[in-house]
Amino acid sequence: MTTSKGATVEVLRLIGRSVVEGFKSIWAHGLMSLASVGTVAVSLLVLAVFLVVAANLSYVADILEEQVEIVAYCSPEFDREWRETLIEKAEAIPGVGSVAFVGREEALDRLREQFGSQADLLSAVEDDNPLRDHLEITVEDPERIESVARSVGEIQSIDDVAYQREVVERLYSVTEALRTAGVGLVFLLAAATFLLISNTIRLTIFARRDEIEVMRLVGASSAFIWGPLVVEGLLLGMIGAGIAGIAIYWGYQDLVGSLHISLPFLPILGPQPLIGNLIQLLLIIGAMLGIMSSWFSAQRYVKI
Amino acid sequence: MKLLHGSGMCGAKYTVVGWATVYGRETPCITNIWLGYIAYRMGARLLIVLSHVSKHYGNICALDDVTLNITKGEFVFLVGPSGAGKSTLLQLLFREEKASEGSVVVDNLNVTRLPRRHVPLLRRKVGVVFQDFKLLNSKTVFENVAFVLQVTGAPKSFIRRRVPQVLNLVGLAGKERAYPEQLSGGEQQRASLARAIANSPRLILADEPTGNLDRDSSWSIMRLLAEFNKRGATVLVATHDWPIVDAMQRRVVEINEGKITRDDEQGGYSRSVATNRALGR
Repeated sequence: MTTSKGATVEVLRLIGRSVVEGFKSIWAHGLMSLASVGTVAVSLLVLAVFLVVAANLSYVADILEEQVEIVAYCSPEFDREWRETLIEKAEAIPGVGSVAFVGREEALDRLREQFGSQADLLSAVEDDNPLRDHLEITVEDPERIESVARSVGEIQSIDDVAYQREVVERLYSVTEALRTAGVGLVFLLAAATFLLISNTIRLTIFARRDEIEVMRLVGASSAFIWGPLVVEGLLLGMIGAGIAGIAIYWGYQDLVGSLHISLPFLPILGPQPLIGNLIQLLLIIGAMLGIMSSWFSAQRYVKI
Repeated sequence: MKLLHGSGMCGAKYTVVGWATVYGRETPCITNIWLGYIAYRMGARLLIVLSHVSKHYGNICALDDVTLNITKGEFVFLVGPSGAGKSTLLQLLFREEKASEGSVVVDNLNVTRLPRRHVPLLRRKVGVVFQDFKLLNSKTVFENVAFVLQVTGAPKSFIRRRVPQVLNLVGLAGKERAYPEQLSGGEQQRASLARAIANSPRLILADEPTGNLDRDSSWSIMRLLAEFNKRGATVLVATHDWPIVDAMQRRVVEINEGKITRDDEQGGYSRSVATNRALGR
């Protein structure tokens, strides 16, 4: 019991000392630390921007996907008396969400509305409405839209079935490409960050070579020697990540605010929880980068 | 486990190799416990055992088949021309360098086979003093000495008690708050001696400790080393300081071109001094 308590005290002391020394050393290498923090911040900011854009695109894709519906056109000789039966038949198909019957007159009204001031153009067709009665069918699972559409097409007196999935699919592929590009770029930037942090740590090792030599000579454990170096790397990474986090937080909030005013119909994700999660991710990545690069330097330049 | 007590803190595992050759025959490897016991019974008096040790740096051979035993409590001078391998030999003893061949055993630790994570344990048993002192200029004398104790995790209360004690011992009482650069060379070396003994090491290694000092300071350092030796530490001094070696008449091991060329129980810096003495001149 006493030994474990003693060991705990020792570990705490080691951590405390590492943190103090780590801070001191960041302060001592002002410019180099600034460069490291700056690179971390820029790299992580780029990552954050990519992730935010990707998140929004996939959000838009989700919305559009939900809006994707099947339009089933009735044959011209369809008798409206069978309307209810037709709806029931469509609703009976597994995977169907809701079914609405739209008469050809209503369809024309809608068109007129969409054309707005240019509704005159429609006067040519008004006497002989070319539109058809149709069903608007939403599906529960957008992935299964194809099979549902096929079943709908098999209903008697349904002539033609149409649905627009291509748009959504294209949007998804754009999101995917953007994510891939983002990850690729971030790997490059991470490599640059890694080199810069490990170089800063190398500088620390060089500045403290006498102290490190004495520590080695008198039998300091490697944890004792590496602790402050790793903490320094960790701090550099996390400070950089924090700056990137603050930047994306302010930036995104501004963007959302101004978009809500200028383009109110544009679907865009609210700052929360997106940015909160993003900041957590940035901090984790920054911390890991910092620890890895300082560990690398310590392994490489401090021999025990 | 009591049997293994003599085989050091790492247990019998690292003990074995050196001992067999010490007594001129190969001891069969039965079990670790058995060998630990042999080590305990036979080798208890030996602190340093080098057997057939060589050290190469590329094509250069710094040490060539060196075999040397040093008993606990001995005071040994290591002499020889520059580049003869004195420093290399010392460095092997605290694993600053690793022997290319042969085995090095220090206080029952097989240094050549010591895993890296155990190297600090070895170094805590050994106090090292250098020609250039290696004091940290950003720390006061007190802090320099305290640093060793902090590094090895000593409690603060112990450090507060121990540091003045050792500074007193080396005659630096009252200089606690001075920075190394404010001290004379002799005082700096005494501070570094204080640092070396703060952990109460069994073995003190000194590499040209008087190389940068004037005569009086050199003598005071050597007297301190002799004093620590009297208090039980084993002392190994590599030096060029022939007047002191001649005057102190301790065991002298001479190295030339990586080989031990002389090992006198009581000798002088050069063979001629020993010869003269033997001839009663």
